[in-house]
Amino acid sequence: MNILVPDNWLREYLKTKATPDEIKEYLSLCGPSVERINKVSDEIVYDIEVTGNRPDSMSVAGIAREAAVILPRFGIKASLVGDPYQEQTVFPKIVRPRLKLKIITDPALNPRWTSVVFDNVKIGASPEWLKKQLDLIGVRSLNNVIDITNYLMHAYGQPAHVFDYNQIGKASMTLRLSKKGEVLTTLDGKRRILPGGDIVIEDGTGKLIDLCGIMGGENSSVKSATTNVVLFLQTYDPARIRKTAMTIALHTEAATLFEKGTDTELVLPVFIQAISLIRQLAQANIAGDVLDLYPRPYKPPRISVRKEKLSSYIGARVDDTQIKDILSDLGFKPQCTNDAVSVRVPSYRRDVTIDVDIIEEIARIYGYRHIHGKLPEGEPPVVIPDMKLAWEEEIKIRLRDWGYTELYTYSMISEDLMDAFGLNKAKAYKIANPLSQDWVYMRPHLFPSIFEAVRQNLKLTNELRVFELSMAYQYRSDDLPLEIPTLIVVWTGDKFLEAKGLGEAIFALFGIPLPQEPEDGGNQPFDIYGSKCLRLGSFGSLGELCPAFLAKAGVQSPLTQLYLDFVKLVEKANPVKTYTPISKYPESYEDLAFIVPPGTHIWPMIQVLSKVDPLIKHISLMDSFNQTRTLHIIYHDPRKNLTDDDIRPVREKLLKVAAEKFQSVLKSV
Amino acid sequence: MVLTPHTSNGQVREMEKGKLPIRMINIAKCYRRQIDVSHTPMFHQFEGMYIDKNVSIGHLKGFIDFFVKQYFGPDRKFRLRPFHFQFTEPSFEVDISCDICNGRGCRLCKEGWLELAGSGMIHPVVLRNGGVDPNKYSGFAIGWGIERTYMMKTGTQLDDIRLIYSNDIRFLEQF
Repeated sequence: MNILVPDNWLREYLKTKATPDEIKEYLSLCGPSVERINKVSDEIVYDIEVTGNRPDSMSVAGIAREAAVILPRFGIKASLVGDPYQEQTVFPKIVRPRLKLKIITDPALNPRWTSVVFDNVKIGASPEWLKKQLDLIGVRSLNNVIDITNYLMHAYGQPAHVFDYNQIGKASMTLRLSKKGEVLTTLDGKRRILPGGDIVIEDGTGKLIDLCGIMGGENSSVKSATTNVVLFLQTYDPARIRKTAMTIALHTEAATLFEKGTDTELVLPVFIQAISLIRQLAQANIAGDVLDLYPRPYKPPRISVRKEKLSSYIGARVDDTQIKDILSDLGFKPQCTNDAVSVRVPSYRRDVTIDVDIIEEIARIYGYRHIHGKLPEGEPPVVIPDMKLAWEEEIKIRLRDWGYTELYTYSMISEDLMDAFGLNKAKAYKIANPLSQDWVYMRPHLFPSIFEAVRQNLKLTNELRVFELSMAYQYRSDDLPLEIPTLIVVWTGDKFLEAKGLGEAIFALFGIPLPQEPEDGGNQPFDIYGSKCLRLGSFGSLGELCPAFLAKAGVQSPLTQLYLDFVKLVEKANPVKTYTPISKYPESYEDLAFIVPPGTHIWPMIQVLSKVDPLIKHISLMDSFNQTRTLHIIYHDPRKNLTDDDIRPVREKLLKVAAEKFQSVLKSV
Repeated sequence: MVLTPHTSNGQVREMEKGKLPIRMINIAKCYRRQIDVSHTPMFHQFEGMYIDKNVSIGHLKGFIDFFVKQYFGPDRKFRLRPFHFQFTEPSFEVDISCDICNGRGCRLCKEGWLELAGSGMIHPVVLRNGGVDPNKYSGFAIGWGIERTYMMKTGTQLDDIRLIYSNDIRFLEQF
């Protein structure tokens, strides 16, 4: 939570010669972070972030208290003045109580209730000094009485509220929990239907006049015609305030303070100040009993920390004098024994409950800048690497070096994209509170994200060679998704041969033979491809995408895709190469040019021809022109030199099989 | 089910494996409902955690110092500021000097410093929940935002985190 603190206001509570820059620098190093110094009409205003566990610092006096402890650690004198906990709390005397107020409350919801009735209240404009302070913190001045409540809340972190006494039916206030559906129009003019379980005040006629701790009711608010006022300062059960504020989405400054838990001991001193200010600025008189209902006063707990633990956390011994100085300055009343330090926790530091909390208090004031950094001692642990991570890095670097650009898309896709690709929305995780319509479903497949990125980039260029290796989130009912790492590479244009080449290179990298038998194509439907495509066993597929698919992707130009199941690749990876002894007998080779019928796929033909005889070591495609395919045949026998007599029968077998199975004959010259 | 907003939950998973001491780095996607010049709805954090006997704030500083010098260069400065997380005590935020404005203040940083990490000594309750005895062991945990860390690398001059997920080829081809 952030608080604006004008420098001049801060110095009403903090006596120091420190400059604003020094205050900003040193506070941030040891306490609340001063994020910015703003200049507002020639005045300096600090914009300070206070963490949620420190409602005691969410006020001018609270910041001053921290500064008074911190600045001296940097050699700058500083002291806290006007500490509300040190002020004399003298109850004002009443001559004759003339306005009665009946109160019923519940200490479980409302641990401390203070209130008093004023009459003869002159509602009017606030004096200039008050208007100016409120202006510096961005609060609109309304009238003297309401301004006083806002002023005190900001000064001390204790909210205050005022009611028009005459609007409180039968002069009776009952604090209770709301029932679901009860209605109240708050000060901002909004009619609110309450969720139930909210702390409210009902007057004697049964109507609600306050949404406690969050916002007052319109009906009982102080207006310019008001003459009798109830001043009201209290604390509440933080959990209830938080629940109501979150449920109805109303986060006022008061609610922000109460939901963190304000100090019951702070109520009385601020109440006394409020009374004094109202009498002063509105010429009001106290007309009724001054009430303070506080059945369970704060009992300061004593907690302790072992010195050995303190030294262990700080990495050095802190001597007793320093420990005691720091803790006393913070208000903790320390006691030291040989082994431990114990403290009495002041009422405004209920965030301190266990030993490590004390360590934090000592360490931050001692100064993190004084702690010496060191690397861990001891044996480094033995780690078995996760092969998926190693291969991920390997494949990405290779793809980059082979000339592909990595995409990195959000895991979430839009409903439009789900629909465009006909994906089953019932079997996908849907975000209940999306930030934007672009990010609603966790993608059950990777490809919608890729093709959307491709589509966007096609507006900028015709040439793309992109890839992504990332998760798809497969739906499992009542369970976390199965996260499937998928590799997709996309080219613009018909790049079937490039895709096949890349596929071969990737399989070679993983040490996996290129799959031969067509099997189930994995996670992705196979019918997204046109005529030029190839299944890669259960590892994936590749090919030119068919027009129907391109239409779904919203793309006019042709695209080619390689799709691979990464987990499968890693699972079957076999990068260890086995040595085959180099034969002392040489290879023989020749080139055979075949005329093949139109539509012949050369790879299956090579696969079949390679198995025709054991003397055939390797066949590759050397050249391709019209219907001619020139094959380079390598013959080898590890046991002897090959002669023409050895090769001839093999050649004849090749020609026979080529003719019979593939209707291919040698080209005649 | 919640899309995880930070990687800290990985701490308990590692502790539950039951082996001590622990020196862990976990990098994962995180999701937050926020988008502006320094936030994207999906981003990455890496979580560092060290649990052993007598782990101190000094070890945390040593770890940060090593990373800052190796990744950013010997001249970049960092500082620890007190902060608050429910799962660490003491808690800190780690700032690094801003490379875009060289410490003068700009739209990306807060007056010359950029928040880079949240960290702290692991709260005893968290240790206990992970099956580690807080009376015998202590530890630190720290979480960095990876995209922001990258943007702060000397000379990168990236001033808007949303660029990283734009998937615009004109951006991608520069890196």
